[in-house]
Amino acid sequence: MDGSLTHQFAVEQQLLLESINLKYNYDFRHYSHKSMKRTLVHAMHRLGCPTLKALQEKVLRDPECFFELIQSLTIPVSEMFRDPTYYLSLREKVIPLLKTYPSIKVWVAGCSTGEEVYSLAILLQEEELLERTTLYATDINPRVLEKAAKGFWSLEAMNKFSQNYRMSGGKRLLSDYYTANGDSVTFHAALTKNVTFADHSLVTDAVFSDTHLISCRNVLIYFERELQDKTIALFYESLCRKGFLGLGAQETIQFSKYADHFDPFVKKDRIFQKK
Amino acid sequence: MIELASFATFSEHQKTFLEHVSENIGIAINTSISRKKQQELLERSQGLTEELQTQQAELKATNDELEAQARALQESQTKLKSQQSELEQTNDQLGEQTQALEEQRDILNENNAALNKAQTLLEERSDEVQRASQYKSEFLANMSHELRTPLNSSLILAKLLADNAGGNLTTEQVQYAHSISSAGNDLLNLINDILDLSKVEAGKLEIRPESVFLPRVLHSLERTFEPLARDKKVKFEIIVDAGLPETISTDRQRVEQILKNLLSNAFKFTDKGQVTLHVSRSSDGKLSLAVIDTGIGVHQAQQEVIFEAFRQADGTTNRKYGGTGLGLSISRDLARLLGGSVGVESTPGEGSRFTLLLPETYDESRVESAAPKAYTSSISVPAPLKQRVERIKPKPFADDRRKLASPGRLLLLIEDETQFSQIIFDLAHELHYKCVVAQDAEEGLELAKSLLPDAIMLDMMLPDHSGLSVLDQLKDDPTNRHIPVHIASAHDYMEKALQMGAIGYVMKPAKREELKAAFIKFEAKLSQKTKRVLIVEDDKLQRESMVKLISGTGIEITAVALASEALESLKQGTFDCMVIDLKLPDMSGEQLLKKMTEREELSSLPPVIVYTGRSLSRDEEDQLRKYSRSIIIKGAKSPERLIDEINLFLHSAEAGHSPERRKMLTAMRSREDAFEGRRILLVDDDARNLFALTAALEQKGAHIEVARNGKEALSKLKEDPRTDLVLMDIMMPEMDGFEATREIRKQKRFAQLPIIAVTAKATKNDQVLCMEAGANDYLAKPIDLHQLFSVIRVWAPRLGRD
Repeated sequence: MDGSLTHQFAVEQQLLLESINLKYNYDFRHYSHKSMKRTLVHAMHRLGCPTLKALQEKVLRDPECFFELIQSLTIPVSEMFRDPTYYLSLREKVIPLLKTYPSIKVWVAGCSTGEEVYSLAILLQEEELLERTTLYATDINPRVLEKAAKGFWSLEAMNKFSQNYRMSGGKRLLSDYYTANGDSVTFHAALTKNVTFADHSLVTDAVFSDTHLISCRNVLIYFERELQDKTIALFYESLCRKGFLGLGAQETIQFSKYADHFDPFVKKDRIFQKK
Repeated sequence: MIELASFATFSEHQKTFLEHVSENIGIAINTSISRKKQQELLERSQGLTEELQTQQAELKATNDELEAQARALQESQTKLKSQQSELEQTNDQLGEQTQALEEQRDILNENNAALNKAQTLLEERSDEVQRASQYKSEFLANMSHELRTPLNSSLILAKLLADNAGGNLTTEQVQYAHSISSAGNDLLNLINDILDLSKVEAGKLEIRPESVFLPRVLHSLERTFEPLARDKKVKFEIIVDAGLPETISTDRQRVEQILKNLLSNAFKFTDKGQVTLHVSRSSDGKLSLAVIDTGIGVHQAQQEVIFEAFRQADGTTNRKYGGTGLGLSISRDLARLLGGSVGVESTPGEGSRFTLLLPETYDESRVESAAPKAYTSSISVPAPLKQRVERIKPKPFADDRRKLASPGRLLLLIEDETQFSQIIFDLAHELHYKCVVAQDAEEGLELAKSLLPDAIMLDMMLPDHSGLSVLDQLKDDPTNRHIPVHIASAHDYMEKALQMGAIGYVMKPAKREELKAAFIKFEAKLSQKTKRVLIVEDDKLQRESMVKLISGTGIEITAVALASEALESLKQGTFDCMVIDLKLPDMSGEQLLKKMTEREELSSLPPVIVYTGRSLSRDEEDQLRKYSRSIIIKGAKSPERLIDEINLFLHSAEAGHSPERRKMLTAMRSREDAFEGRRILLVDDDARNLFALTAALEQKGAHIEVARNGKEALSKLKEDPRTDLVLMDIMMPEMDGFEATREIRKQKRFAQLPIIAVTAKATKNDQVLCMEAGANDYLAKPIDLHQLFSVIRVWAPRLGRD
């Protein structure tokens, strides 16, 4: 694409995101520009639209089509116990402090298809905290929430998940927590007894209150700086004093506006503590 | 078309028939032909269809395969996408880090520039200091002259009186005159020393080389010191090695001065054994005049110090041996001017060897000047006398007391050492504090009251009173109580001072970082005042460990075991924070909390932290939340959180403030406890003193015993070992305070007995001696009752605490 075409695309991209915001109340306007562009080009091909304008028309007319689009916008790639050291640090450093609270609130922001929620639930169970924990699992994409609530994965995925689980300091076998049927597995419902799955947008929705731990991994990377700042502010408001914020391996608050509102708690695993 | 042949002609009838039939036949034939064609076509089409079906199946298979590939592609694309985003993020971060690094580099450069500037400034400063030192020496030289004149006349008059030429004076009066005369002589010697020193320093001392006949010098020295040696029963011997020249070229007066100095020092510090003057040749060909004694010796660490003006081997020396401490300093300077040197070798307890090395021939060109000689007579013109007198008052530098209106926090420094004051003064300025310096306790307390500084830095050894008593008085006075006090002292009273509410303690000599840390503490404390924490925990071990955990500077802890005691404490005073256990013997924690909210007389409830070992149900938690700000479940990390939460409540502005009045009342009540029923032993030989002090202390409810000297004190203690505190005068007959204190300390059971020394004149040396003897603190005479009470409060053991 030459310069003018690039510009044309940028304009149409902005129009599309604006109109999605108006029509569906989903605000993608401050998502990282570059990855958004890639996603849209891909969606154009998939939905058979030669131009963004055509895609826009289609998406605005047809809600089904919009949800199709969301699937590619919200990139549901995840694993259980992804980056095992993150969970190990939670277990060894954060959990002992959480234990001093009579009841605990945990928020998994951008939970996608629920891998992280189940990972945390298992961790809390093993540390005897699950009983007094309320877990909020939120995502902007209602379809992934449905999937997350089911606790359904392919048997094949369990290889990797089990390996991660062991490396994260797991005390039992991952298979203790699920039942296999055919080539898929279902995780025990007891794990999600205290979990509330909720549709929540980090961009437009309000804060939770007095949360002790927020885990929001690999979400901020899709946001522009300004939106990152806004999201971190949201987390700051939601956390109790000395509450913890866990981010993805490539994410940090070091350069955000709110860097000095947090202390690095386990730096290498991107766990921060509200001052 | 059909061709028919017949042998007979066709009848008309037949013809017609044929005509009719022919059409039908044609049709039939046609039909038959087309049917055949159809049949063929059908067969062909069936073949084609089959073929098509096969192809379709093949196509379908290919299609499936393609779809599968597309799915795989899509998945990997999604993954790639997220990876790309992650990479981009990492890239951005790297960029930012680079930028941060660049910024740091810039800052470093700036810092370097600043350092260079500072260095230039320092160099300038150093020049200034040198010049100032020059001025000082000039001034001293002039001053000494002017002092000598009137002193001389009074000396003469005293001499005249002592002679009692008129015969009209009593023996006593004559004795007085002798005293005046001898005191005046001492003063004159001191002035001479100062004069010499300043002359040397000002580069004004002239060397007059002449041919000096050594035996004559030695003989004169022998004559001078022989009587002294006899007097002290110390052997005095002069040994001269063979092969030495009899005549050398030097300034005889100065050489004699140096040797006299070394010899009189030797005699001064030698009580038995001998003093030897050994003349020999040194390895580098110089003439060596060594004064060797078997006296007390000088510690290695002090061997350099003793040559510094106004300093002696240790502070205690002065009192025992007297002297100005200038002699060695002058000797070294003079030796240098003569082209030689003075050195010392010594083993403490065995003796010293002071060696004067002199060149055989004085050579002016080889003498390093002691000080730059740039100061000409143009600046030595005496200034008006009044101004000069002001300059020798103990006001080492101008502090900020005239600049109080300028912005910045105000530090009050209570410190008598000029050097240290200067360091703090400069540091304070650097950190944007104004700094006022008080040179003794009295001035310090006065300034604290009148200026209400933001922070106080306090020395422990002040000329008039001890630092601890100053600290006590500061904390006793509601107007000053909130001011953070940091201690800087060479003596270790850390535990006591911190207990009394000092925010920090730094031992001298202190590193710059340590001093800076003191200021950081000031900053931290300035917004807060003493905080009170109430702990309710029935388990003794737990309670004690919690007290240990929480206690820190500026925090006052009340720890009780029962809920009823907690309520009582809350009635008596207000607290900034309260920590309760849920399981108490007399009522449950929940009940206690409820009671607290019901009681009206508890005007302000402190924030409550529930610290419990059991886990709580949601309901219990909700119930507790009504009263308590924070609930902590005991566990591995709970101490950390407890400290954290307490700190939060203590330092947040919303923490309840107490009505000042009530606080003061409770404070005062506890203060008087320090005297009630206390057994205090007064040791003093002055009846009037005893009378006055007994009256004052008995009024406070103390029980007083008296002793008139050290011996009596010891036997009184033997009679009544329950004594809580001893007030010990130092100057007493029979057994003085030092000895008595030492004797008391020798007994194990009195190792902890507080002993307050009372000294007549509070010089630094006296204080040090008191401490060395084992006193806990000191008071200067005349005794100020305020001081007395506060010192007793400091040292009297707390009731029920130990």
